[in-house]
Amino acid sequence: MSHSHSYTDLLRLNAWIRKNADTWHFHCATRTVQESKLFPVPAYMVVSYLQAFYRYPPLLRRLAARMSPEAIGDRLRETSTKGSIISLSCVPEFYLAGRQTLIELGLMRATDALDDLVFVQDFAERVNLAYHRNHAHVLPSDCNLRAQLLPERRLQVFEADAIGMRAGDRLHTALKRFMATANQYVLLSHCESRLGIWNHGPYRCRANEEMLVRGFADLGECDLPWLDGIAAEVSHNNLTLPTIVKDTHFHIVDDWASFEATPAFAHDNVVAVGLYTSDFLSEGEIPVAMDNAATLAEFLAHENEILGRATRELWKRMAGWSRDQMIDAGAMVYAAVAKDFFHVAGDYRPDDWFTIDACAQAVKPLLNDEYARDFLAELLGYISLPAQQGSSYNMNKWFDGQGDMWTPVPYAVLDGDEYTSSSGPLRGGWTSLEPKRGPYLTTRGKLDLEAYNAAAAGFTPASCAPRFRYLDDAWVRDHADSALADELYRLDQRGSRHLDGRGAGVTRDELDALRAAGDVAATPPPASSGDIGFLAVHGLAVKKSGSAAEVAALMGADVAAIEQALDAAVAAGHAVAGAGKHVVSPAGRAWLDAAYPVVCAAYRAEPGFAEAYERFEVVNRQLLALMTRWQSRDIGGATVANDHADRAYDARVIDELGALHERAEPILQRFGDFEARLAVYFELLDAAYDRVLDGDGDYMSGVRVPSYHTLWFEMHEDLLRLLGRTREP
Amino acid sequence: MSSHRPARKWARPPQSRTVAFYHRRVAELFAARVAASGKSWAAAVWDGALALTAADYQALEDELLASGLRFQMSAGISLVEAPEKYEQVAAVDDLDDVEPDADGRRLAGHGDNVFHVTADVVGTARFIKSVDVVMDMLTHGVPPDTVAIIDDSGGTLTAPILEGFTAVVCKGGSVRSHLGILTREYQIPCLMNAEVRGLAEGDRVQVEYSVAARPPYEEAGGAGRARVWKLAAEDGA
Repeated sequence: MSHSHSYTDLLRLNAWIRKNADTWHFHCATRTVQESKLFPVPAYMVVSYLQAFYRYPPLLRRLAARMSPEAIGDRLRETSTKGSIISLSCVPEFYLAGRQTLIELGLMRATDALDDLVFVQDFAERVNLAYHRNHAHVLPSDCNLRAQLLPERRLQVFEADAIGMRAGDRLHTALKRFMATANQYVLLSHCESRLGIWNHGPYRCRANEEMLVRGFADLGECDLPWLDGIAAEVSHNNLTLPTIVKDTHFHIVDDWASFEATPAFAHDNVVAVGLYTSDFLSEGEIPVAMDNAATLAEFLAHENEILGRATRELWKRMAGWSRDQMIDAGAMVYAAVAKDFFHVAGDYRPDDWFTIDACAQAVKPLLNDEYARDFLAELLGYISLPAQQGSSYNMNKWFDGQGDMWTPVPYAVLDGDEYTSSSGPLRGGWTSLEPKRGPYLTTRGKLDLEAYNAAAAGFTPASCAPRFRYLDDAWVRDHADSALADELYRLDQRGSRHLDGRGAGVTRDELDALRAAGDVAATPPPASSGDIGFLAVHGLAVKKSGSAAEVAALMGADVAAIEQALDAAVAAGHAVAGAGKHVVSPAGRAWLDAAYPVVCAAYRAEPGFAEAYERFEVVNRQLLALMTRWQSRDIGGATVANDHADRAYDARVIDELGALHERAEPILQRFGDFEARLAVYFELLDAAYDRVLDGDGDYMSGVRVPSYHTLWFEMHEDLLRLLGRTREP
Repeated sequence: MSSHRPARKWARPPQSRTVAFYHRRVAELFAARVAASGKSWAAAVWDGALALTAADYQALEDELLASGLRFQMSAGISLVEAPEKYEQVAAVDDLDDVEPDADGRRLAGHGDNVFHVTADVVGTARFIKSVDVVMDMLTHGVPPDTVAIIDDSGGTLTAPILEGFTAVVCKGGSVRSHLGILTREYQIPCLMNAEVRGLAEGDRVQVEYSVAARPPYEEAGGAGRARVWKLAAEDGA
């Protein structure tokens, strides 16, 4: 019967409840309806709400005896774990959603479990206040959907050490693939929820740049029991990727740690990235493979493979689950948003989070797909349920509706109205899933649970120790010259490539200089169509894939010079090499597309060139028809493969080729008047024709020799590119 | 019904049928149980002995199903495990209007056959739409049984990996296009000028490369085109 809350307490509580109702509605309503063909998502969401309602009060009370919510919020801010923006914002909401569910079902009233409600909401608010202290808004939605979590000391290191890249280069490509794979993997491992993916920021960098700090949590063998074995090869449990993006403004970074940008985020605009890991046992963020662009790209590619493999294995494991197992897994992932508070304190117990409370289990027979979906739609979307409604004068913050998502506490409990204190102590629970058996991947290697808890309980990172804990940016403003400020900054600078030991005095100008030195310079555009760098990439584009010798032959250029130019193209990210062949990369194509209008401006403006091309098109159609006749014959109305047994037939086709070759000559020579190297095609075609005349039919249309057709096709491609035209069907 | 179930001012009934039913019945059941206990609400609300059990909730579902109602499904597993509780809905597939033939195949389209082969090809439809797909297949190899569905008839996009395809269905061009010529040279069965619909990445397909080749000079389209079927999903796949 405890309740000794004051009027002020309840005023603050109800304002906090309404804030949560408003932001939750905004976040739910701006997402598409959560439906999955694999997981029964709405059903597991309802179970998770009830799990949160029954379990958070006893668990958080146990935790509070060891550690304050503020200390936990500070610790989570200094590292990047599952205890991220989205988890922290979900803790109060999930409890409120469980409470509202029971109120709507008639199983409790708004005055019930009053002390639980006050305790859980107070705890959750205080964790969020400490976590978000740098920007001093309790939730990103209070800051117009912006989440500037980190102080300068950390951001300077992130920015200074971020490794430059350019669209299409190796690091850029590896990063793009890794982000795609990691997103896919984490969405799957979190039962199609976003709880393992987070972003915060943006943070202004250079004039046209913003940094978004992105990351993934619980990648390795961790609390999620279903990653045992499957994630054994994963290198780090948590990854942090400070991502610097040009010409993009992140106008939304929300309470669910998701972002939106104007213009839309495009990977091509990423100019630099870093990679770190951290957890409850690390001194802040530890750089990963950040020696240089090559080591980072290599690591991302390596990890990409591992996560891709793990995704495939995990999908197979989950596809074998029963509906009950899927509901348990999803409900546990959701309700476990508070689990990392307990890791910080070294009091993590798997049964708290990875069994389902008996009272939540009982409700499962209600949770068919339709009820769960429609209940959530009414609860979170339409706000149409009875206990959500206000009077007919009421107008909701967002949509003027009569309801608000979460029912407040009636103040009459201050004056004798009946209430209850708590829904009771921690109950037992169970799950139809396999329990956790494997080790826990940490920054100190793989540990068993006992060792992990013991290490966490005995550890406080220096930045959270009494000497530094209260030294925020507001203090730094007035004490930047002090030895203590230098010490504080050096904590984050440990292991930094550029700032190790520098202290608090690093200026914006110095960062600009460091960044400029690290920028990957754009390869200058070619000066002319004879530029060897242009010829190498253009020739490769014409050839599709080929060796330096093949490209050189086609471009009428020196092999050694083309070889050197292709090496440079690979280094610049314009081409990819492998097994003696090269291929133009997406960035290389973009570079070419930008170059053509410049280097080909003269031909494109020249009517004679276009006229020659129109004449070529006529011959081209004849050539294609002729090649088809060479490959197939019409026999008795049926088209059959030409087996070349009929020498007379073949001879007629070869004669036709001779005539066509003669007709083509003046046209092809005309191209040479505009671009001398194009004359090489006639020489090459002449050689192929000679081989055909010598009886080597392969030189007609074979694909394994420089046949007449292949050369013609390549010449056509060359002309199309020079003229900026597309191929006719 | 009972003082333990207060009327709510301003309330309107829930909009959805299952929410309206369950919320009414759960509240009635619990209120009746509290009333029967003789305890005050405060004494009863968290009393484990009075709490509704899984059997109580199951009885409510049975009551609802006995009324003839069947639930709408979202997750595939729900229908698999309890088909008797759910409305039978066809899988999301815009070939639903196409009747399957005796072998369970649905006709997904036609194309002009570039050359005749002795047997039709059965494989996995993979859409080769972007450079990224091609780069990926170049790096990791073309997956086996790939029937490449290609938009572009020039052979440009697929050049580096063309040889790896089991077969090709090209939505553009003609049997005379470069891609037609190249596939003929590689002896990779190919349809050109194909019109296909209702196929998704990874679908199993059968393509009728066994029909006569399209005469190169006949007008494209028309009768005698090779057919593309989407096959029924394989058990256990």
